[in-house]
Amino acid sequence: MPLSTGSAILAACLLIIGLISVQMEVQNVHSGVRVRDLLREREQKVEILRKLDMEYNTQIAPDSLERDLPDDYRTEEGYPDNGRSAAGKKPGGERVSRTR
Amino acid sequence: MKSQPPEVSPAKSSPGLQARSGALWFFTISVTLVFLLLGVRLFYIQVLGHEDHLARARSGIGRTDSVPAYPGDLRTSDGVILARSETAWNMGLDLRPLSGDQVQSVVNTASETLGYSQSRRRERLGDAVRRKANRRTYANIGRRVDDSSRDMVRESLDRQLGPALRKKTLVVDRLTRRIYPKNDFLCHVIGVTSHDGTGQAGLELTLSSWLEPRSGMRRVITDAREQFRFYSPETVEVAPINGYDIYLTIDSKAQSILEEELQLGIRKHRAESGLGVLMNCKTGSILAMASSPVFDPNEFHRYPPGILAEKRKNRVIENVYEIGSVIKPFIAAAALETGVVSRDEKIWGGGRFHRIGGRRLEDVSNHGPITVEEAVVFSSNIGMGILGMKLGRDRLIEALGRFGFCRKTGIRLPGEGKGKHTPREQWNDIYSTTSVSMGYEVQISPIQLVTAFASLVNGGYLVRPRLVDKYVRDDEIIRNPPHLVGHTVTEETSAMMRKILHRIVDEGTGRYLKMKGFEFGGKTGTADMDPLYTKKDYLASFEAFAPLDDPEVVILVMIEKPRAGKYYGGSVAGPVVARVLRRYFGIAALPEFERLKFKGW
Repeated sequence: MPLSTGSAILAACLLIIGLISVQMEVQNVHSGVRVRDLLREREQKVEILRKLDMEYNTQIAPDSLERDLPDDYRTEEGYPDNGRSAAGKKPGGERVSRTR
Repeated sequence: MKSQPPEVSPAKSSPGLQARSGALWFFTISVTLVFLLLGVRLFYIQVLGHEDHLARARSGIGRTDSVPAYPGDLRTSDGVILARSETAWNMGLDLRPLSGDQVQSVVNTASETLGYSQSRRRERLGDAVRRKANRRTYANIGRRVDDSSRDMVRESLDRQLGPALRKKTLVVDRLTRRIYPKNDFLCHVIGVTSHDGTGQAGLELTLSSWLEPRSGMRRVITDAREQFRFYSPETVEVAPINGYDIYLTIDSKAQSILEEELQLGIRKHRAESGLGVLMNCKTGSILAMASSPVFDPNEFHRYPPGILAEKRKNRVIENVYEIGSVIKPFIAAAALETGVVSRDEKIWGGGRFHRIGGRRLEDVSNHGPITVEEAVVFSSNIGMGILGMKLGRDRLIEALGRFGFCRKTGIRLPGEGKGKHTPREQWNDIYSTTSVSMGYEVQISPIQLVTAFASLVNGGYLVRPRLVDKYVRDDEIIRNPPHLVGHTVTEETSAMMRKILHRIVDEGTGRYLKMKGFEFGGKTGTADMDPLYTKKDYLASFEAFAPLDDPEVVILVMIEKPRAGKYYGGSVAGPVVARVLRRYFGIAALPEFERLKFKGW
């Protein structure tokens, strides 16, 4: 094989290798940026989730539930009575039998 | 004769050709050698020295960014979140690219977007203008704002300055801020954190090493101007670790009940302040702890310093009192335990006044001849004075130590008061002995009192009061088990004391607190709070345990300086205790239960 042909093939190979390297670097940058976006997105979602979790937790806290009880479920002194008042008042509602 | 063209001699042309060919070969070999060397070098760089060169390359073209982690939550035993951290942003302006007018308009826009009040807007504007005039480079426009506020400010400044200038001027720093979703609920126990998230008081201070997160690290590839280019997918080098979520022993419902009833009692009797604590008497777990006045940890920086110090004080832990008659069961237990008297032994023949040495002792009323038991049941000062004299100085001091008085309990809260009693060398055998037997000349913190009271009714086991139940992070759970400190009385003495304390509620000074269908025991106390004992200011106390047969909880309520007329422990603090017990044990939910009407309520 003439030298010139060999040189041409070598040059072409080097060119291809160079192009592939550049392409790989571009891919690397793209995936890096995507990773950054995904990480930011995840952090934002975690933040939102934590806020919602806290809000829900506060709403279902036993003391909050007791404070927000409807009047029907309260005794004369304002304490919860496990729904006995409401059950007794509603027509057809289950009446809790008194224990002696 | 025709001349022959000269014959080109091969020998003559071959030297040039050979020379060119040689040069070509030399060039080819040289180039090949160069490429071979390059190849060898590349092999060395890419394969043999890959890691080393990668690290060197990264160190030159990147920076390390911190990956945020969250501090742990504080939660009640039933999971209610008491404190949680969320991401917040500090927003500021780089003043250099902006003119004076631009600074004013930008600060105005930002303040408007963040919804600041007029006074706060003026304050921010004045600060920024002053800084610009003084050639300072940075002015703060918003502290600890949330994500949506940050985005709104960005958008409004984009419209005003354009994205390019906005990017140059707006500086945003990430941080975490502590949120207390239930505001003043359990505020004295939780405590507060400073702006930078450092614990300043309460559990936020003592548990800071558990709550603290460890931020991660991530290499960021940057360009020559140190601007962000990209994350490599493999560049998370140190993963962030959140702090431990800490589950307290506090029961949210019990806490809510205690806080409500304590406030009600304080308002009803126009008292200056008050405190209450509910404890599991077997494990030492604090189920509820309240102190009044209260503060909102979310807004603590807005209180004036003097007022904040008063509001922030956890009276259960930090204060020490001359507790008065609530000490009497302990003195009686010590007397029974040491055998100097028996339960049914008559110690006083009757009357309202009695003189011991040079000291005149007085009872509220004449109870007639009384036994040791009746001295406690009717809270007789004379009876207790006599009992104290029978015990003597050394045994009294030893008893105080055995019950853990005048010694820190070791509860994980800062600023615990130790208390003190008259030192042995200054002890007056008449005055000190009779005073200590009635709860004077000895200062005791409420947490010491309730811990000792728990041991009195649980069989004599002195347990360390505990606030933390467990530390949780992902799948890791670290429990904080109960800790036995020592023994105070025998099972027999403890059983005897339970009966005596029940009699107090049945027929003694706490008889107005009797609840039909629910048996409990307790001791009233009314102490003169004035340093000169002028009987102007009182400390009304009530300590109790329930249920009677198998005590589960002990409770202590103290109301300081009631000013609505009543001041006895049985009529001021007692009803608070009874109402808390009734609600805690769900007695109000029994429809057949006779509604409890306390005298004066």
